Amino acid sequence: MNQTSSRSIGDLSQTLEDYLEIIFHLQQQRKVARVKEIAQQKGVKMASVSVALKRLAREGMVRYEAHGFVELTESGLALARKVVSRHEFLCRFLREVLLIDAEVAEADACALEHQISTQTLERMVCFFQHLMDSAGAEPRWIAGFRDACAAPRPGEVQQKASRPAQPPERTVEPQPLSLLKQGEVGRVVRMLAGSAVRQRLVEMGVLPNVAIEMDGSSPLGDPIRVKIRGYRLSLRRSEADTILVLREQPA
Amino acid sequence: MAGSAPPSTGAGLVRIALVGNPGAGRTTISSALTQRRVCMASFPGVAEERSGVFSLGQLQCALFDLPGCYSLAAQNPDERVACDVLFFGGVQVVVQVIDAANIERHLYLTSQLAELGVNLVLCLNMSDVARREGWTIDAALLSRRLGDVPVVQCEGRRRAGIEALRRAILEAAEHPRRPEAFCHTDELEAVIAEVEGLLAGPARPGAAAAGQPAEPKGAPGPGTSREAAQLAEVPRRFAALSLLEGDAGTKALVRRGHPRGAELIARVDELVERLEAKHGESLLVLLADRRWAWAGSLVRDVAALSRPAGSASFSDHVDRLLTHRLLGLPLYLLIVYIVFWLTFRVGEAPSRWIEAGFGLLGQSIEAGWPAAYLPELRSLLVHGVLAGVGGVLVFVPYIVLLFACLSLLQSTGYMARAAFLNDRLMRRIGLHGKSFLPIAVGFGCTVPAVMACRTLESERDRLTTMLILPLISCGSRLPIYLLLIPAYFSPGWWAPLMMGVYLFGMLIAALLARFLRSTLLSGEDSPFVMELPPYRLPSLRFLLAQVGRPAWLYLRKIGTIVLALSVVLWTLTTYPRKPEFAVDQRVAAGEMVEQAQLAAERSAEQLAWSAAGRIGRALEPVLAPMGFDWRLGTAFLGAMAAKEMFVAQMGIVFALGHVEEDSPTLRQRLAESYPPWVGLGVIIFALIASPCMSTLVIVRRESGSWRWPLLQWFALTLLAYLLATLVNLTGKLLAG
Repeated sequence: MNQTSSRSIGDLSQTLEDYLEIIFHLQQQRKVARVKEIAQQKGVKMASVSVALKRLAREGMVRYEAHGFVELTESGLALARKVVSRHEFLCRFLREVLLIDAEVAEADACALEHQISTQTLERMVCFFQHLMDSAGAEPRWIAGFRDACAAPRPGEVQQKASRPAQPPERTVEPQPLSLLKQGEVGRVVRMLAGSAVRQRLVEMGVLPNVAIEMDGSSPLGDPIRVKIRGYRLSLRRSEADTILVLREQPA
Repeated sequence: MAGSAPPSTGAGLVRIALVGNPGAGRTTISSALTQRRVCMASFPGVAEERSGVFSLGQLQCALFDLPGCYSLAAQNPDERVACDVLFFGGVQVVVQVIDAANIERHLYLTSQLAELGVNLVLCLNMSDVARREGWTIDAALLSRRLGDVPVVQCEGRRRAGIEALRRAILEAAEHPRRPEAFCHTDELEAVIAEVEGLLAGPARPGAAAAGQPAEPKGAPGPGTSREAAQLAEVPRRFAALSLLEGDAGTKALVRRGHPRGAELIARVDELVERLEAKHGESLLVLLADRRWAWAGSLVRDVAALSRPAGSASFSDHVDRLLTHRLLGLPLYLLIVYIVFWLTFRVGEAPSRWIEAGFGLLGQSIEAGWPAAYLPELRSLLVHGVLAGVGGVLVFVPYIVLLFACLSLLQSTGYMARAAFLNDRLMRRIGLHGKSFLPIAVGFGCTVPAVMACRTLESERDRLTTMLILPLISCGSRLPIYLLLIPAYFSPGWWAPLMMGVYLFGMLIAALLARFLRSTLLSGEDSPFVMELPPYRLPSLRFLLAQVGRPAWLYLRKIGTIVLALSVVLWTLTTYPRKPEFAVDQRVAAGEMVEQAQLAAERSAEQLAWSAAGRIGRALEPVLAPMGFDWRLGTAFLGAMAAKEMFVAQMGIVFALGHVEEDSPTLRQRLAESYPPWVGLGVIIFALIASPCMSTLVIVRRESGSWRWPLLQWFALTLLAYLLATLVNLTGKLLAG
């Protein structure tokens, strides 16, 4: 990666890089980023966000007034782009070269991006470029690698084996709890709710890795009803939307 | 955690707090323990009817039945009250009531109580239900695993196991024992210990040894403020955990009550940020995860479920029907209708008997008491006191029946479904699903409707519902419409107009609710996240116990004030006595006046002469924009006692004697005296303005301050004034 601006990856702590990334995405989506939204996205306290924002502001990465809007500065934007593109690259590399499932790739990219050295990263980019450039005539060993990955391994589920030898098209992404259909089970991966609702959810036993079964909705369609930890819980759709789950395949 | 005054119990009482999740059966256990003795103990925030005194061996015990809470996070007012009592109430024994059939979820609260280090007794309630559902619970093992905390199996509804519970409480009171606080991960424990060390005083951070449970009460160094004293009462480990979870109340308390509060909070924020960044998860979730894991492993060890998980129970089938996509709402409306019918139709008869009884009593007193002998006292007794007592007692049948229904709905578990069914509709206007029922009851009478608002957990929802309830046109206002509408409009218009009045009230109520929720009572909607408990049949004894309390409370707390106010109103409409009547002079001058007409003319003159009449006259300039004269003003003043009094008062001012709402003479006189638009204004004014004094008093009682009923009175009266003025001016304009 070329160094075009004064700051480069690695100068900031990984947490701050994460924040930059979130602010960047928020700005893309809705022009401005607010502290509350950042806290929600990251799943941390607003206080934690303000501490981080103050540091970012000190580094000249964001313009930020307490409790107000947050805006990336020029250099902040440049660095955020770098962080984001690095993440996207790693994701793509894992998916398309190593043929790793999208969700795993996403998670591993997160883990890798902060640990990997600039040198290794640049070499990987180079390797990937090389591979893509020769895509017209894909080397035999690559094709062989793909076939080997696609072959069922002992203990692997049949369904994965039957996947075509291409990057998977339909991926299992975390989705809001409210999108589950009646009788479907989802496992909580992330909770985005604000503190009051989150507190309540947590004390009712909604936590990451807990299985929740959808049990229909009210006749008017809004509060939904789920089964969790052996009892029934009702919650509004707006609240259920803040719980991201991975749909579990019926046994 | 809000501050609180010291509880007002006598010395020498052992204080026992009853805590538990909503629906664990605390009330059943509490009434079984106290056997409904006269209440003497009170604590701010704990409704008086929820505490009691009972004797246990040699000990006198005061029992506080705390509001149901899922955790000690103090997120809503009920939980805050529970925390306040536990921290500052000087409680010696804490009894946690657990629904044995739902033990894992209830143990979450246990984990927090253990961290709080209270002297705990566990009461496994509904063990019969649990057994039926296939649970076997090893109470002895559970007790050992919790560090020899007494665990008692109970069936509150059948009063089984209560003796054992009493013994356990006695034992715990005499030999206090703290449950074993479980450990979080080493990393979290180190952080907790560091925060505890910070809280302990200006010592070096991190000085406290990791893993050591905190001293239950530690002085946080210098600082003499109230907050400092309060902070000292909170067990340090619990305060540390609350800070780490980001509890706003604890933060505020530390900031003000700790000598180096701000610094401490900054350090805690830093710690929280570090941990959250490391684990990619909020600390609240990390801590809770640990508690749930603890509860889960405990349940796996001490309890076994023989019924295959996931098999549909009776409750599931009932639920399928009652929340059915098509049948759910009609069934709900049917149930609301039955509640309404039972309350007001069945309650009407005893209510009438009471009214008639007091009428008879009054008449017999008047008959037996010579008019010449102490006439003022005779009048006060019959028209002031007896009428007032009667006016208070007529509500009792309604309240008893309504609360029988409510408590049946609540204890069977249907109330949660009612909220589930309606929430979408009610949230549109800023209310909660549970607000529907009080509003439906409001069509009968506002007083029991306000009392029914207790089923709403969030204070904001409760207040909003209470404040708009007078706009739901109650039965007492019906006579006013029945009098006025036919006076001005042809029969074809009667039904649509009547419908229109009710709908108009509901519209204003909806608008007002929206307005309140975006101004005075603004804030995020309270989370709806709510358990749908399994359906259960309550015992008759429990229902009866539930019914007696609100009726008793009403009589004691409301009755006295309403009685006093009705005597005041009677005085206003009776005094000063007019020395000479114009009609007497006319008779003396030779005019022929019938005996009945004479009495009617006299009472009309008397009312005009009385304080109420004078106030009415004095107010005339204010009433003028609405087109009202002093007679309407005086009648409305008299109708403060009860809305239906308006008709009688109008009869008196027009010198017609005692009239009913279908009196053609009064209608004719009204039509002659006021144009139709003023008639419409009177209807609007009767609908919106000035809730009756019973309503105001009950709102005061249920909201805990005079602020709300006064605000309600002024706001609604002002609104009615503006609307009636608008109608009057428009009417005048259109009429040319």
